[in-house]
Amino acid sequence: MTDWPTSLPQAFLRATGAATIADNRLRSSVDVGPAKVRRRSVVSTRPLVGQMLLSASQLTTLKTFYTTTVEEVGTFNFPNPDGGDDLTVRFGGEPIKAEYLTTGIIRVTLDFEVMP
Amino acid sequence: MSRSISSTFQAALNAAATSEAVITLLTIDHDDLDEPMRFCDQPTGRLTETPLTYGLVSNGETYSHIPFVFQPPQDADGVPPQCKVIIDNIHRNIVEIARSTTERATVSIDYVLASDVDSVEISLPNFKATAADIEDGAVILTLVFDDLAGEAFPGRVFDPAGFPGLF
Repeated sequence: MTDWPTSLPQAFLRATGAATIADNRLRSSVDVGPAKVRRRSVVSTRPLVGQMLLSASQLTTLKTFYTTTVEEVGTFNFPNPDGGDDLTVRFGGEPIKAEYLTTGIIRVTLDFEVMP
Repeated sequence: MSRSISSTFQAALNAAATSEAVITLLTIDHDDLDEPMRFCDQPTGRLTETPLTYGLVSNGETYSHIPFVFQPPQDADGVPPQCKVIIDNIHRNIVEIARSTTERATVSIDYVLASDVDSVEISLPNFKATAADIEDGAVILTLVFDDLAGEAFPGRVFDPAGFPGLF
């Protein structure tokens, strides 16, 4: 499987990463008593969002990685923010958002889905 | 007609909260297929790493995960019981087979629990796919069981074409 480019930062900026646990529950209201709850599926994806500061060349590398290497939909290994084994991720709904802070410094917000 | 299910399944159905998930297994068999196509609507893990695919193994058979919905028959007067399976149209061979043959595919539905995928809780075997509607993004299979209502009866009749001397 493809790995996250080593020329790009291997971690999100401090205090910018957000990993949430997706709600995988089906909830059915009942007339009386507590709602019935069960799991929708056994496995599910979960979102992982974070920011990085990139140079112009790194941004080019990121765009090439997104459009050519993983062809926008492929999965790849990304360093686990919690440590341990790499996560298998793919780009999420808003994959890359770039903000040009100043010449040569771009703040990029990355949206990943962590695959089960 | 009552149906026998396991105590685990019964407990999960009655529980206010349960971690059990019911998985639907779909098997499509046809003479034009080298081997039956097997799908599950929920995976329990990865089948392969490269390419990354999901599915499960139940009773020695591998079921690939594709999103599909099984609609059980409606209990309405005057309407023949029909089931529908709506499959996300991601396998071209489903479309190719559906368009290339007039022979009916045999479809089987099994329900298993995620905690024990080798024990089939409910089995609905040997449906016949009488129609395959292909729409953008989906293939809709219409399933019937024992379609005797569609068979001509009697098999032979005395008609002018076969027995002109009688007319």
